[in-house]
Amino acid sequence: MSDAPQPVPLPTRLRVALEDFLFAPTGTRNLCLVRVLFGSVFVLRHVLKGGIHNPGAISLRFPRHLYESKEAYALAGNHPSVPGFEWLPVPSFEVFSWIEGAIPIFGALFAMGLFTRIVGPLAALSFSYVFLLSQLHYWHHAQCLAVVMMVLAFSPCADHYSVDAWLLRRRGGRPPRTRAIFPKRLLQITVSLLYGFSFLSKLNTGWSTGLVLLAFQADGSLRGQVAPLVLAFVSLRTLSRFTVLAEGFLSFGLWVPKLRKPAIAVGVLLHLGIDLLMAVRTFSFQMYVLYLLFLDEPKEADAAEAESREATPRPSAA
Amino acid sequence: MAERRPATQSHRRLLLSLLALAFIGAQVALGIRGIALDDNRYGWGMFGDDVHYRIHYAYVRGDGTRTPFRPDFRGKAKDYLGGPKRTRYGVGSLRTAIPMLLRHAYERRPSPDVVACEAMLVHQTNHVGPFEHELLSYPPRGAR
Repeated sequence: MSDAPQPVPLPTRLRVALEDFLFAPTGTRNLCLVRVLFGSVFVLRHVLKGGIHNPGAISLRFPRHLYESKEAYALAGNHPSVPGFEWLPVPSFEVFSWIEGAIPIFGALFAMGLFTRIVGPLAALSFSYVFLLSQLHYWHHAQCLAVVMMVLAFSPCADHYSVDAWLLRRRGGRPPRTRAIFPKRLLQITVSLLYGFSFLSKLNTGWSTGLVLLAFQADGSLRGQVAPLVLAFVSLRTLSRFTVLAEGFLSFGLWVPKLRKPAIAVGVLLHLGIDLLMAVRTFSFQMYVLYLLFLDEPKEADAAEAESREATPRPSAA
Repeated sequence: MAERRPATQSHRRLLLSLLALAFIGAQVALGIRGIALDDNRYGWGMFGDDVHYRIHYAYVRGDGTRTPFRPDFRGKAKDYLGGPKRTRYGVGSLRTAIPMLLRHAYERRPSPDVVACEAMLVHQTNHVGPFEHELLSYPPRGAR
């Protein structure tokens, strides 16, 4: 009788690989950092006017309303509802404005990590409700906010860098050192799908020839202050091809350890270019933050040291 | 020897695996829908084309005559579906949005002899080529 180990059946190997992919234990510091930064971008989205394409015109306004007056409140008249979500109750203008005001407050508390388990779902659900009320509320960055906030809201993203974690430590508790990688995986896959489908939607003559960016230019959409300078050195066709290739590369490059740093550099260049040329507000910031999910967690020793630093009471100022 | 996990943990993992499958499946399905229908919204397709368009609305009466009308647009709806405009969400986004609007107008039609609401969509992609015309209707033409 042979002592050779029995080969593991393929279904078992697949199941183990899937479990490892979705549930392997991992630190949560990066996820918590994403909560802080993505939550801040979420707030910014609701109070920021303007973008870095025109830094002089940036201002903050709270609350910043989608509809400035009752007369302009599209949901009261003709508007295309989102197929499948016609059943959502349409609020009065006053209630809608109140919800709009509450969303960034929930977002700010979420970024701080105060009552995270409550304000996270409130922020995600109220924002998704507004997003799904009408097709008029569709923007790519809004969909990204809705999906990412929904995952973060139900994840253990307050284990670190949060008021909740600080309060827990004061009571003598401490969050688990590791958690299942599950929420991080959902977000990583979302980033890949986002770039992947964006890449696929640009595989057309308009993008390969630069016609789309030419049309953007003719419409006055390439209106960033540095646009003339950039376009003096780089042709629209080159920018166009770079955009398509960069998105294709990002859809898989972030997963490959050897390609990760170049992929992040390409991503930053891509989004910085978009921000400088076009009137975009927070989408690039969202993507920069999500790149953190692909970085390795701090080493155990560093994490333990950071934890002990966090746990050590600071000497009082008095 | 394989490590045995408590049943509750196994069930939880199974549920989470199904949740992950639904989450990824929905995004992939929406992405494929976006490409198939040339509607870049909801499926992560971004700025596939620059489409210029205008829309002419009409009531269709029982005797076949058409009366132009202008829906009671407000705010963003007025911007999006009123005057000449451009979209980067693909022509398919208009094909999805306009029928929802026509249904709304049909349900509030001014008289019972209006049998349908129609929209003539005139569009051009990337400032190139001729303007194309498409007729959208609610109820759809075959269903009247």
